[in-house]
Amino acid sequence: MEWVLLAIVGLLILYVIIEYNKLVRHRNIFQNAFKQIDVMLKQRHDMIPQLVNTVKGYAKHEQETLTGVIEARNQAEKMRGQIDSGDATSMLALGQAEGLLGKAMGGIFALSEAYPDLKADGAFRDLMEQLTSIENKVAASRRGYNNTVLEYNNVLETFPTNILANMFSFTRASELDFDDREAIQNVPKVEF
Amino acid sequence: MAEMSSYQLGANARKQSRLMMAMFIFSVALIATVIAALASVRLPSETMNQSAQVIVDWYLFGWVATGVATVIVLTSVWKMLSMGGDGVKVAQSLGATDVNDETNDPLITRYKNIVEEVALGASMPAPHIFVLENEPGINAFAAGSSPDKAAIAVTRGALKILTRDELAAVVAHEFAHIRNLDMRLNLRVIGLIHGLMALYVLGRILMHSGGRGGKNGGAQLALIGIALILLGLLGAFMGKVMQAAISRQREYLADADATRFTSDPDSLAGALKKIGSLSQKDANATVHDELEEARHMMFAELSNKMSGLLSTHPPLVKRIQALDPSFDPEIQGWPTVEINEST
Repeated sequence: MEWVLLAIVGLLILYVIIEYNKLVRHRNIFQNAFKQIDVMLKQRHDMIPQLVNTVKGYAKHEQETLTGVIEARNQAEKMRGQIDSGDATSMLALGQAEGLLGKAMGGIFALSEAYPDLKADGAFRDLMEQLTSIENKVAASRRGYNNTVLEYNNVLETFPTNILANMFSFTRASELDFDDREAIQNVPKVEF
Repeated sequence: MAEMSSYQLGANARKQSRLMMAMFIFSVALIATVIAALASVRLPSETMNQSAQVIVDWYLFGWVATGVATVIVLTSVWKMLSMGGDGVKVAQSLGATDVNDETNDPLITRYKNIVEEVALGASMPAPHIFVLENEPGINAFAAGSSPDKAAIAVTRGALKILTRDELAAVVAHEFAHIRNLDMRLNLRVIGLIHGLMALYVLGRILMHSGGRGGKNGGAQLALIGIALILLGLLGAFMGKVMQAAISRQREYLADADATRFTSDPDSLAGALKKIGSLSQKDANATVHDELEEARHMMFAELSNKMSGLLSTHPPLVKRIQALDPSFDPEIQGWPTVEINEST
């Protein structure tokens, strides 16, 4: 009789260990995925002063737009500096800051339509290409991060793992969404 | 739901490659048995036909069966090794130009950036990149048997004609081939076809020497020779049909995966439509003759004359319709293609 009890307790401990390690593994995966976004965001922020300098030479009367971009950039960079990956409030703050920056940058891209000389400038075109590429990389790594967060949350909230998660104070992680949320949700579905 | 069916396709593809290996082993065993039987069975000689018993020389049977199987397998393996799993070497041998250190061409810079973006989206390492210069049409290929030895090449025409997003879709399609290990599978099929062609060569040698040999033994040798030739040719033809069928399936799968990497089926459809309108004017043929050898690896079928059993790609219109069900070239027509020289 005793060894049956012992076996049950042993199995239970084994189960707790396995589930605990699973939680840790998934948490590491999503935190690592966030680091990748962070690298991309830093690159994005670092390019903006250069962009503003290039545009300044052609569009002197657009000081307002340019200051707006710089301010949005500084705000986003500040958010990026104090981020706690997965935490809901800081994800929301970063998402909003990046969304604003995206909009401000859209204003600069629109300027290029009004200033043909700017549009024809080789350096500006190179910069636009680099920025487009960074935007796509941010989007791709954000998709990757959101997927890992979803997986982590799925593990975390499934019974009976959720009891363990509570005991060891694992908390739910938040996805990172920019203000272009609608655009991403409206991606058409394809049947093959 | 797109995700689901794409995963199903992936599972199908893996099942398919296992099935193919099983068929290969089975056909090697079958061919070896048939030929060994032909070689070792002595029909009773005419003088003692009362005791009409077939005599089998099991010793000879074993040797011939092993020999034939070894020839097929060794030739296959040799061909696979010489074709190389190294994507960089394959791309070079197909006449592609290495552009990894090229920095002055804005089109190449854009292409490099796109490859990095897709690599992120697909969570894969970025492959070595190449351009097929002097190719005005739109095409691309991937080479290399594993993601860390992979190379991707696109034509100069693709760089010029496609929009940024369309080029990304084509690159994503090639990434899908790399991730699904399609080149490795193809290498195996090509190796198999070569192994069977070796039988054909062996058969011709035997037939000639059999014709010159002694009466009885000579006839038997010639008979084995003919059997080898027939089995070799039939096997190689079946192999080509199989290769084409697998390749067609893999193209659909790569199209499906590409849209998962980029979340942008419209751009892939756009690239295919541009290929369609170029083909209408016979303007999507390739200039490099070497590429004919790699036609199963190309993004678009090299010639549109190829159809049916031996074509390596699904019909273009069907590929487009899988992405954009409303597309009908009879009604909408093919889009006009502008060649943008400057950007």
